[in-house]
Amino acid sequence: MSHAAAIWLLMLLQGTLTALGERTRDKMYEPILGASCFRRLNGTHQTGCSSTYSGSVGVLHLINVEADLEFLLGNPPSPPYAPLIPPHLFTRSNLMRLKEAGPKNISVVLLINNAEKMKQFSHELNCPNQYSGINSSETCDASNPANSWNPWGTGLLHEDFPFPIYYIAEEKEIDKLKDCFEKFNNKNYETHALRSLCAIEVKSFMSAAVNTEVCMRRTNFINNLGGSKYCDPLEGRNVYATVYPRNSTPNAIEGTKTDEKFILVTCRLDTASMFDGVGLGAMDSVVSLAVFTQVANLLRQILPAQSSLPDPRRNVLFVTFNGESYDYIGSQRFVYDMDKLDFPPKSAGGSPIAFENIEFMLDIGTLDDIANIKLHALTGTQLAQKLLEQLNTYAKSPRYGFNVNIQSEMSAHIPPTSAQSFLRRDPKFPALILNARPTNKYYHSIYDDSINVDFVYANTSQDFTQLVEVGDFKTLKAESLQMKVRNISSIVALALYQSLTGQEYTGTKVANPLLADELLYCFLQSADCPLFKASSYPESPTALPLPPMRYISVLGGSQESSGWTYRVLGYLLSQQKKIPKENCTILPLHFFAGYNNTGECRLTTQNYSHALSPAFLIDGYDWASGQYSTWTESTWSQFSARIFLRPSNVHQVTTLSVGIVVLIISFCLVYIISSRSEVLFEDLPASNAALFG
Amino acid sequence: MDISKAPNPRKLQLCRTYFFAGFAFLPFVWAINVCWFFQEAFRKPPYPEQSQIKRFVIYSAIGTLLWLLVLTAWIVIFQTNRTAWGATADYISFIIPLGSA
Amino acid sequence: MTLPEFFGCTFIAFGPPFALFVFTIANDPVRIIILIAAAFFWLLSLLLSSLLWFAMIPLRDVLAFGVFFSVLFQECFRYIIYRILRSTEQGLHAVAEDTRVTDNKHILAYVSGLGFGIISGMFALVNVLADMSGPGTMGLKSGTEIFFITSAAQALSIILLHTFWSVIFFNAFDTSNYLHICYVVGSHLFVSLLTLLNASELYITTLLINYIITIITGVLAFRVAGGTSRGFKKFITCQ
Repeated sequence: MSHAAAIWLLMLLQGTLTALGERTRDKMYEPILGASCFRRLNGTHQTGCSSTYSGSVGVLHLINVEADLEFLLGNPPSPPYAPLIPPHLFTRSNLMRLKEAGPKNISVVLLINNAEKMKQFSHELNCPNQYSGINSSETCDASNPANSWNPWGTGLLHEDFPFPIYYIAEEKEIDKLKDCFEKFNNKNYETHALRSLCAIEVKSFMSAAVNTEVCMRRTNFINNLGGSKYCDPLEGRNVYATVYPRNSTPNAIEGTKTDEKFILVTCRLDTASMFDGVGLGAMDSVVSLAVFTQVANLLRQILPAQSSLPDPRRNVLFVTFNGESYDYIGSQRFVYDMDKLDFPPKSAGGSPIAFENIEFMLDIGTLDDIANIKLHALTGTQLAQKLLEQLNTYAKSPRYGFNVNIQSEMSAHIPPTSAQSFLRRDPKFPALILNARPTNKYYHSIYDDSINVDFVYANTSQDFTQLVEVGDFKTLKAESLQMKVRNISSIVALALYQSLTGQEYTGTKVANPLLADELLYCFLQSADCPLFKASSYPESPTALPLPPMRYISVLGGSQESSGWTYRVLGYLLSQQKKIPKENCTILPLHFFAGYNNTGECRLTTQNYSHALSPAFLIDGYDWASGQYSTWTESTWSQFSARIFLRPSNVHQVTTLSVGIVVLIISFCLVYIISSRSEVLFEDLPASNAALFG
Repeated sequence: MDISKAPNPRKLQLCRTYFFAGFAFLPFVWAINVCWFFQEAFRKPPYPEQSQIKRFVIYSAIGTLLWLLVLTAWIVIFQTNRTAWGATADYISFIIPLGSA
Repeated sequence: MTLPEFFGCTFIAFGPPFALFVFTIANDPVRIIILIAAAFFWLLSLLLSSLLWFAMIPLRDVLAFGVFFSVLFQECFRYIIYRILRSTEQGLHAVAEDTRVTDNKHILAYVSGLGFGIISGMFALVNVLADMSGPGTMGLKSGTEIFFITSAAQALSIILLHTFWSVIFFNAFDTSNYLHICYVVGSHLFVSLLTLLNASELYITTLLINYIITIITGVLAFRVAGGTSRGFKKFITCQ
């Protein structure tokens, strides 16, 4: 063995593993791929999960029916256990029971992707962002879930768990777990304590604790010599663009307000889920993002030049807010900046826009049922009436046949969307919200994906940037998601057209359903898609064939979704100029690959604004005040999971006792031999007898 | 150095130096003084300087004990109340545990 | 392996050598120096065999080849220690407080053998132990639960064997007993090649054969060092 060791040593140095040199640890451990739940903190609480510092270990136990849980919750023979739970049993009552059982009995919870019996799966609260919206009990009543904004929500996303929760999506990994459970654990439950059992170790230790106040204090602590971070504020970028380029005179005096008038069209950019890196937010936000983008593109193409508008100072400002899932981070910051005349950001140039410059705001909320939409406003105003009329003109017009039903609701029952941040500052702010009755059973969860919205990619490879005749369905079915997105976005864009120009739209060209098709494909299935390619610089490296991450994340996080939205808005909301590529380098000129990859120079208007809650900017902010979003994300060093055989206590104790017995016996033996060596070696000269002396 | 080989006045001088050095908030110096001179003070046959050495050793032992008591009490109080003290406790901590209050 | 398992294995492998160290080495600085010097020479032999393995690219996968030359290198270095110790005996005699070290030539052999054994046992086991850190034990895909205990027991036998071999080897060169030299090299080679069987999980077999050889070698070393069966009987019967 000593020689094998010699050779091994070199193998370790070399980092090469030859056929014979399969490392022993590879025989003992099998890594499991998955996504972990992690810890977030707000002004008063910590939520999410954390493993113990060195990793939580539990014996695998497959839960097929609810009764299987009783085995673990009673008096299990060899705790702690790690239940493998399918989504339909991942309910609030079950999880709370596991939490109560405590880390002594339940050390890890594994969620396996076995969606067969799943009817619903939403772990957001019944009233999302309840405490950061307008302060009214009418807005949302958590005690009456049926009438809340997320009737299926369990609120588990806002619970603190004493164990890590690990989501295993892939069939292959689930089979590994099931096989191991069947082979070692699923027999003779009484002898569990005496046998080695198949167990899992999950490492997802979180550094932060208690709440944002504590972890930010510790992070900024002067004694913090190691410079270790405990938590980071949730932070991202809002993306905004205008339909007409703003006349940004370079010598605009700083701080002077503009006399422009804006219609503000907004939507949400981000989504949320319990597990790191999983969750697309298809129904809860991608659909509205698609509508938003199409409205922008359609308006860009049908509006006449700004100078020929009845009021040439009018413009449309499109903003998509980041971090809205976490107490409206993006819109709170936008309102805060606008109040301080800090919007647009200094780096972007242009004179600041104030609230007086905003004619009204149209917020595109969640459109679960995209054919039945409500126009919400806090109070019935003439403005709301007028817009509703305009929307209905196009929605009901036989010329277009959109068949969308738009009703209005003028009450404090306002959906949880970005407009709440504006209404909170000033209840009289002219905010109108397009929102549908909540029907999403997978709100803010890992299952809100393309299946949830019935999206099938048409993949026509046709031009998606041009408008099409209203009767041209481009091979899509009338009831497909793409057509529904086309309908509602056309209606909204045409209504806005009428507001801006004062004239009814009489053309027959409407939004292109293929643009919705491409956008949904990019955000739900693969970022390596025609639309993203067209809106990138020519010959950009291809994106990974995965959908972009849509969680707001922290500074230095991926920020994929805002980056792509920036490019797409830039491409779709800009004017093509006949300028050669060499001269098309200085913003606002931007060179795009274009849909057919020929390269086009465009005059763009898009930009970023910072989406970091004002709470982190204000010195001495009272974290518990609830005025601004205080969400932070704990830091962690790694997420990993591996299965192995956990030795039984009997085995461990035996090994240790054998070792101790050997140690004691050898001490006694050597002592006796060395003290009586002269007897053993009696025939030798005295000096020789000293061998053991 | 081997204390038993030093002349008696030298022993006394060393013991005294150690005793006074301990007042500079150095309880370990007192503890060392006690260990080092315990034999000289109590086990050796009497010699003129021994009574003084004995006194210094006893005083050092008392000082060490006092320090021990005070430190133990502080550590117990601090560890049991750290989370309750909140920010104050963080400001007087050098190492803050990860992942807990 | 878990913490209890780790300590169990460590006690099995290093308990007896530790006891030997405490009662026979620790109280004499010269012996400690010789022990560490011997360990150093074993490391040199490891370095040489590693270099050879590294240079012989086509034979890297043939473990038996590496084992064979590794054994040869170790025996060469045992011989080098022998030469060095014998030539420095006068110097040692001058510095040693305890004259028995130099008066009894077997003590030098025993101490350097133990040094050889401890370091080789460490390398054999520490590689295994370090690779095993974590909460699991063997047996998920292959291997048995007793892997750790057998590894520890094997390391112990190697440590004891090296001690005995050195006693026999040094004496054999003193008395030009070529049979004994052949026995040392031969049994070393045999034991080492035997461990290759572990690849096919014949742990118990190799361990049994290993310990039989250890006992035979121990008896031989006892005789060489001047022990007799009469003395042994007296020792057993506590006379």
